[in-house]
Amino acid sequence: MRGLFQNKPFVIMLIAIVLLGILAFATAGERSVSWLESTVGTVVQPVQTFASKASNEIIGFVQRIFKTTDADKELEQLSVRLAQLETVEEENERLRAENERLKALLNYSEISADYSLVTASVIGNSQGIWFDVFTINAGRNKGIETDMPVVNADGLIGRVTEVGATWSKVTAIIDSGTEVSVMVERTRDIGLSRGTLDAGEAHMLELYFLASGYDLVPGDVITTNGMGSVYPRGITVGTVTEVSRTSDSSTSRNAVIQPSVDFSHLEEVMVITGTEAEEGEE
Amino acid sequence: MRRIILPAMILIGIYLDSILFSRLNIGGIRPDALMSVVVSAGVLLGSMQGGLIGLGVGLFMDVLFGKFIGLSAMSYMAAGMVGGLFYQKFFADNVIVPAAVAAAGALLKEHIMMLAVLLNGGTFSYGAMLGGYVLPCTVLTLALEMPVHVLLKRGLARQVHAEHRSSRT
Repeated sequence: MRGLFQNKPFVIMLIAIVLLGILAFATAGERSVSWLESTVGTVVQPVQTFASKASNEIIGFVQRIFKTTDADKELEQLSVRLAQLETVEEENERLRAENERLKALLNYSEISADYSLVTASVIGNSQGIWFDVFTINAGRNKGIETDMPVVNADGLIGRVTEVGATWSKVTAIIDSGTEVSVMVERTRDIGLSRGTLDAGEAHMLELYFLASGYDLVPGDVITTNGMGSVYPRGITVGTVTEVSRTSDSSTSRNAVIQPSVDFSHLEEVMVITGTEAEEGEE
Repeated sequence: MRRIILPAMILIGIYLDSILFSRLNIGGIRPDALMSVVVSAGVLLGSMQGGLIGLGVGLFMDVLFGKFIGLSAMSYMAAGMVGGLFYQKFFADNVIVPAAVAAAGALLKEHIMMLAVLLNGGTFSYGAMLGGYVLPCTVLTLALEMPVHVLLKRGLARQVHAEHRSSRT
């Protein structure tokens, strides 16, 4: 063991590890992306975009394997023609699904005409389940800035936390360190939603700080309340699935919320870059 | 072969960890492909190279996909260095040692992430996360390390043999 610490390269690397740990916690707060990070991201972004698109094919292939019964397999072996038709049909299905997703986004952008929106694709995710951060293929080149809200047709996804030249990182509302000021749409009660962390991919939110004697039932829709400068008012966050009744509502959660967005299958998103009114002023 | 095998495996690892495994996993449980590559590189090439590869790969992941810069870099660098402690110290065909180091590395990395979540204001049940996520992921990483090590060893065979011979003389 003593010999190990007389090994200079090993000691240098140990010191480097300690310094990296300090760096990690020093960069824990809000920060701007350095030119080096931005350049690395810009170089890698097209490759990531391609790889992300290609992975949809791989996932579809794996899903087809698990969904195919023995009888189907036998049939497929017997009929090459049928297999070819199935391949064409699957391609059509994929295109149809993509078309529907894009139509939903288009429909959303038409409904929410008050906002200026930039569409982007998700090109990568953080490792593991500890942080819900993902990377999109739009950055300063598309007018993206830190703290811009990110949505899709189903509701609120999160906010931009880092911006590079052609890419940005988005922290989702389901991240355990993220809080969003929300309200119950039916009663207009104001509270705070917070991401949760558990094994598995439940992706649930918790609702806190409702006023005592709150009226809440499963099925209530939760939206953003517009307080603070990040999220505009009225964007759907999720639906109440479980209501807690405890005496101390200041420390215990009031409810569990199922987010309206399916975070397991996030492919296209929209960044709210401003309001039409703001653009008119410019 | 040896010139491209390591970069190719690192690129595949980045693709698997950042794109595929986040969409295709077993209830959130997934192996750490890059941990397997970094540990194998450490075992086959030594502490210095293993640590440097871990540092580079970790910083890349932190910059593009991470929440904090340095967290993954720290874990991968440590794993690469520890893998290097077994450099030329066991039978070449042994995959148990690298697999055990990869599992230890995955365990360390998940605990570092856990600590970061706590310091970031997150709350969770340690027992539930350990049993429901960390240990299953560690087992998957251990399993993945075996084929990764065999592949990398074949790709780097000439270099490893040459270094082995020069260390004997």
